[in-house]
Amino acid sequence: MAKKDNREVVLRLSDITMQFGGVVAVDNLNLDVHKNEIVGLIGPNGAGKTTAFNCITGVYEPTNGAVEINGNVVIENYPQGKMKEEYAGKNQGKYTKALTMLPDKVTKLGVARTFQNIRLFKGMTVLENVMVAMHMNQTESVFGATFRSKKAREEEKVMREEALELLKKLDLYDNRDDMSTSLPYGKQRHLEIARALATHPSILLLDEPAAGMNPQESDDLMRFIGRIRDEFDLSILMIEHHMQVIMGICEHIYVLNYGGQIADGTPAEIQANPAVIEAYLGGDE
Amino acid sequence: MEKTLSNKTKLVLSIAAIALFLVLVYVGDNTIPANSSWKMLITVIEKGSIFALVAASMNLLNGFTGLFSLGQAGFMLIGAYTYAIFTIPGKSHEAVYQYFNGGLIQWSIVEILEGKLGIFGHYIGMFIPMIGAGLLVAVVAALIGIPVLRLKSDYLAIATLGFAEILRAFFQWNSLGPITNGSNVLRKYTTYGNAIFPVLVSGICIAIIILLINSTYGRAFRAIRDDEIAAEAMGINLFKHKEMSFVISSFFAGISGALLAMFQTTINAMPFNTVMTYEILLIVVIGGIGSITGSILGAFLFISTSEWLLRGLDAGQWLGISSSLMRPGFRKVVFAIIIMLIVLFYAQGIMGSREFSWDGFINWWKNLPANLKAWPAKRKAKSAAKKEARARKAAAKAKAKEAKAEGEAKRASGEALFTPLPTSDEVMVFGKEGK
Repeated sequence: MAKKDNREVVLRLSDITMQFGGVVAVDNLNLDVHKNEIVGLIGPNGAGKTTAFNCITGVYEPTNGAVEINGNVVIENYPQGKMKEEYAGKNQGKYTKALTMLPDKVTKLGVARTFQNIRLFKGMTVLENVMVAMHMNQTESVFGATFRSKKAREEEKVMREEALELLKKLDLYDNRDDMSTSLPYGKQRHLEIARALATHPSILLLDEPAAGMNPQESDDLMRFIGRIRDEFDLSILMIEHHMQVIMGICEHIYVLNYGGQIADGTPAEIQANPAVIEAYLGGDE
Repeated sequence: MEKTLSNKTKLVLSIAAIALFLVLVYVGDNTIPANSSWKMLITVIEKGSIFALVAASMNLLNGFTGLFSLGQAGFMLIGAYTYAIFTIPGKSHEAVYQYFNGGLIQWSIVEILEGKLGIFGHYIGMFIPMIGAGLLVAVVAALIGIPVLRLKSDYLAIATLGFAEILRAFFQWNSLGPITNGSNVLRKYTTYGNAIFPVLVSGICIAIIILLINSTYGRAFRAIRDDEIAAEAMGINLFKHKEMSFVISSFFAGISGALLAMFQTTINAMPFNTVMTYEILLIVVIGGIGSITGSILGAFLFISTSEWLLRGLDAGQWLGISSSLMRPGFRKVVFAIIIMLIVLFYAQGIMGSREFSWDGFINWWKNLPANLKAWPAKRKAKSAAKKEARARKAAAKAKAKEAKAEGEAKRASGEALFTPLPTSDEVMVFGKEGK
């Protein structure tokens, strides 16, 4: 089922396994995201989709497997120590030095994410929420920033302008001085995406962006995602339960069930795949 | 009717207000005679400003970075000792370190610099050990922070509290006697001459904390406070920023410790215990977690009530009232009640997470007459509503009473109280029990 795509691979997961003790949350996931592609990751509840995201972004250290971002291996781990005894996958005999990265390093490499349950900075305004995401590109030291050195003032100015520009593009400009929590739900989702975009990502991971939206709103979201993909030159990997959104926008879909990868292909292929139908609707028993 | 001032006006207003305050403190300290009861006001301002600084530094950690740390008293202790040790004049060493043969260090930075630069050197000589105290505390905090900052919330509080207690025991250690004078007091070190000194130093330090909070690093701190996971996903290095906040906060705690040493004129490790940390925490909570203005207000409120305004309660007479209840210790009871009331009715603290702003102040001032005028009407409406509610309640009560009387009468006359339920077999009352 290897897909044929001539575009460059920007994100590659090879044999990603995440075990929590005896529970295998993600089992040997292999996934490619090509440049400017929108890839969907679907599966019933508890299939391990968000765990896969956490493995990519460095929140978890995968029990086995490697993550490549733009051709560089950033996370690589093969079972070791106690895990080695419990793990029963195909890399059992292998041992290499673990290479992991904290989430902030992964973000610096150009992978931004949003969260399933919105995680905005509650005590801050919309503008500040976006500006925080630009903090990591700041080069001025804390001393200079405190005493408002010339460089610090310039960086702050650039940061503010850039953030306002971004808010304008995402229709949040009028809300810039509102507290982030006072925004309506849909706008909070947009703000989360705006905040992720402020880190200048090349790959965007969206965790259920359409959760809790009605068909009209998810339709808007679909167009919105397509628009930001083109405008910001992104590759997008998204988890979603709304089939309408997934089937309408994704070029390639991976299906997980109980941690394992049961299918991958184009939306049409997935819709016709008996394994997927069985996972979602239950098979004949 | 929102009115905003230009930044320039605000700056001028701020500088003018601060300068006026400083002049008043300076003149007040010089003119008020030592035996006047108003002298206490100066003492409150001195101690209040010192506690305002340490509360602001704790707020930077607890209110702005979301790190629940309780090590502040320990850091103040290091600051106080560092300052005192290096400013005890040479000839006083014999008397201070009487159990340790005059101690290890036989010189004072103040004396050395005063000898070379005169009165100017005297102040430089005070500033150097003060800043040095802050820096030493910062280094200690950086070392403590490496293991401790990997902990979260309550665990962090326990660990920092533990370190503060260890520091206190360490400074009382007899083997360090030639330097710290063991568990004996340190005294005779150089102190300031006028109350303007601690006010000015605290003011500058708090201004720096405010500048930091409003910088891009301050924004990162607040992001960590609001949501660690999201902050990390936005490329903020959690450990680096937490350590930064911890070290900076400790630096200012060290400075305030040095100021406290000057204020008290003698120091000893004993009082820098957990109670002191809780007092600082109390100031932060009363003022409002996440508001520097609140910390400053809270500090002055706390110090003035505990040190000055309620003094009479211990002495037996307060506001002209005298009672046999008012004996030493009663002040603390009243104070505890006041704190409970504040926490009950202002759960967010006096300021919540708001800050003072000239715009807000001016609008408040402008609207004050209108609000005051509207107050009786508002109160009237409120009391009318209350009255109505009370009347409604009374009516309902009367009705219930009437119904009860009616029932009693019916029972007395043998009449059925309710229409009896149909008992026919076809009616199923409950799925299981009905027939």
